[in-house]
Amino acid sequence: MLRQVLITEFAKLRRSAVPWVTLAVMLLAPWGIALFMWIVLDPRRAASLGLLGTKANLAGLEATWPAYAGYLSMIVGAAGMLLLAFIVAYLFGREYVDQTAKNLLALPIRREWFALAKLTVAAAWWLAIALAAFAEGLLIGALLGLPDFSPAVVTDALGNALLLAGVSYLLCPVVAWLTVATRNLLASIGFALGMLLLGDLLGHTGWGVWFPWSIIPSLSGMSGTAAVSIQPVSIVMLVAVFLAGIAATAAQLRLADNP
Amino acid sequence: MSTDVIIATQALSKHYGKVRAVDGLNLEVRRGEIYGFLGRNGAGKTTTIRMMLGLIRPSAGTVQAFGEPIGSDQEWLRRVGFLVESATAYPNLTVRENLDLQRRLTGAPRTATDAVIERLSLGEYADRRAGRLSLGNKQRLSLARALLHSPELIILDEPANALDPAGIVEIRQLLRELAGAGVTVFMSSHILAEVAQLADRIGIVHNGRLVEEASREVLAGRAREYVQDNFTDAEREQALLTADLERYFLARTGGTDREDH
Repeated sequence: MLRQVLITEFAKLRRSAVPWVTLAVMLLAPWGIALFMWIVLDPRRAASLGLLGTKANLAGLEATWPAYAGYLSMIVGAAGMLLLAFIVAYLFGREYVDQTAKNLLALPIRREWFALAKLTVAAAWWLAIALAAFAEGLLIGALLGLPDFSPAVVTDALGNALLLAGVSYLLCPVVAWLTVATRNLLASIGFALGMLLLGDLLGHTGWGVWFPWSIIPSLSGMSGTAAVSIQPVSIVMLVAVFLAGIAATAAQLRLADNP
Repeated sequence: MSTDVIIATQALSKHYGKVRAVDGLNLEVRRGEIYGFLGRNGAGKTTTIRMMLGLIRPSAGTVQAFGEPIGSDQEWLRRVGFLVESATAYPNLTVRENLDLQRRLTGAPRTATDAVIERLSLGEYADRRAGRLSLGNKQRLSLARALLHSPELIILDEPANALDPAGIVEIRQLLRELAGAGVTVFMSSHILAEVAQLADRIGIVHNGRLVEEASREVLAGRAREYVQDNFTDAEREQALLTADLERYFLARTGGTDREDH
């Protein structure tokens, strides 16, 4: 029956504009970095572009493949975390917006399976758009003709992007729980944004290892120099948050009133 | 509880703070009957139905379905079709796609989708997105969803909502056919006329309590006496005129209410 639930969850996306919108947003992000890389690549161009050029120079951007690939990873991590929160909030929240939740929850199917199926759809959706954005980023990088290219730069960046995507995913069941508990998409997205900012803040204080939402800012370099690995205690906290999110979502669907 | 009872509530209550939405409700719905659950808006009808389906948890009391208390195992819902409160569907999917989702989730055969589309006269709209349906057709789609897997018990919350008079008559006929085939129907309404024309037994709920329960004939007799004693001739004439106008409207728009006579 879980297979049937999965099929129906994928089928619900048919003719929906939302997957395409999230893809478009994700594909737009590498162009932002590429623009700055293109400006920094040629000092005369930076000078001729006035404020934009000054900003690119002040940001201390380095127009090389390693720097560019690092920023690509950051996009998948930081921007992607918010986008993934939106995807999860949409998958769970649309059932309340469209008032179809009651139809699902009174079916002869374990309610947890709907949560698992939706999280599986989110994983597939998320992986697809993250990889698409990364591939597009590589293509743009090649078109820019950035120096210092090597296959190792790409594989390292891909590994880092997938790690950040994975961390983002492990944090998303909490967003799912918040959506079913509040029956509100905005609260969940606001929560994800708040956690990202708080994670960045705590990342600067040294307390970030205890706070799973600090991992992405820390790994992606948002909180200063990019960390090279995740601390074991952070992994424990991350897995705990993931499991707690799933358990809370399942409990909410099974035990709480679902008007 | 008799084995003939399909669904029953015992001292069922739901409190929201000091508000008693449902208060000690006892009722039994027997196999093959149409039970009309009548009450004003806010009387506790929808809350009762939600508790029957396990969507909300009672503050006190129990619901028994097919002889067993309902619990966390939802398998009993395989034998139930329902429509709660408002007609809803996935707006980006067509009528057929919406019903196909339901078919997969209830394990109904592939042929069930086409059969129910035909039964609810949705053929013309089968490939139209649910978001572009009229309210009446959305209601038909919701009814189709409830009937798709040939349930033994159908729980309907205000099934005539948004339907035009011809549609109401059509649904009335459909529910009678289902009851004739042994399906049990529990339907709520705030419109006496709707319930009176269809239900075998009627329960009247007010402020969350069952204030009266009787067969349609008995209740109709009591209503007649009440009207005789409390209404003027002009008011009685007006009521008759309203009924006549509905019949005339149906005749002029291709519907019929002959089955009601």
